[in-house]
Amino acid sequence: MATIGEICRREVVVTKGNASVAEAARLMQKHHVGSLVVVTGDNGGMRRPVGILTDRDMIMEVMASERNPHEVRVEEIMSARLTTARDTDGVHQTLQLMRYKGIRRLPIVNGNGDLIGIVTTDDLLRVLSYDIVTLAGIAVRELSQEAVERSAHYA
Amino acid sequence: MATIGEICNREVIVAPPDTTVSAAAKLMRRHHVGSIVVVDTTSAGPRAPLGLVTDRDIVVEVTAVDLDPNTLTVGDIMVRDLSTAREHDGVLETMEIMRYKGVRRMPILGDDRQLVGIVTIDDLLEVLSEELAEMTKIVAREQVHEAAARR
Repeated sequence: MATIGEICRREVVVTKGNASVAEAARLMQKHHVGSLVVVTGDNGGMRRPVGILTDRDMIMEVMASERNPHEVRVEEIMSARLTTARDTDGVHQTLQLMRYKGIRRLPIVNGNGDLIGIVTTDDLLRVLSYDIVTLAGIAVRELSQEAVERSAHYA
Repeated sequence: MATIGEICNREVIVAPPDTTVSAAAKLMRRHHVGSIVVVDTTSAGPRAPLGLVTDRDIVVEVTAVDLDPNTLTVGDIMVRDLSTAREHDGVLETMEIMRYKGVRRMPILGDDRQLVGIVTIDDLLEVLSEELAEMTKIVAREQVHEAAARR
């Protein structure tokens, strides 16, 4: 489990930039997600990420301004400066990147820049907490090992 | 840091149930929050939480289904069966309830059941990570003491 490619989610819900916010909202509802990766290109199924759109963006940019979600395009309100990571990047390195940028979701791309997955802070939490649990298990294991070895001694 | 009241966020954005979804969205933007606690503002007594509305709720219940945010209210779309905790409840105990109920945020009530704050999974993570960091100091201190004692 050394690379982010090994722990990221591979099913990503995507949308094109020219889709309407209403269509994007429908996608979120249908797939039970709070964010979409905005992609371009469709050469044989490959997709290049260009932005991320969250439910929060929709509230802040459309609903709070009383704009019509059918008349606003995804590309108008998505976060423009997109950060991505390579599938070969390490988990630790990716954690540092997300911390530095203050981002909860990170699209993962392969060597060609095509979208292959997404990693969220929830995923990292799961992975890191598993490591802590493993660490805590060392002391328990050590004790049981000792009991086995020492009882053999005094048999 | 024993009780949830000590770590919860006391600045909660609230709104009465007849607030339109549009107005709620504006409130969220103005205060940079992702959720609003819907409260009963009619009774003279302490404000009791009636429900919770998140940005996601608005997108899923209103935007995605073409309903009018200017006629629909937070009372119409809020989650009603709210889990809450009391401010004197323990942090770990509250975490267990949140896990059991599968909620990422929970309103916190005071002694007379009025809303005093809200706690989110982010708050819990921050607290737990601080505790973990403190643990590493135990090890560092131990080494200093031992070095001093053995001199």
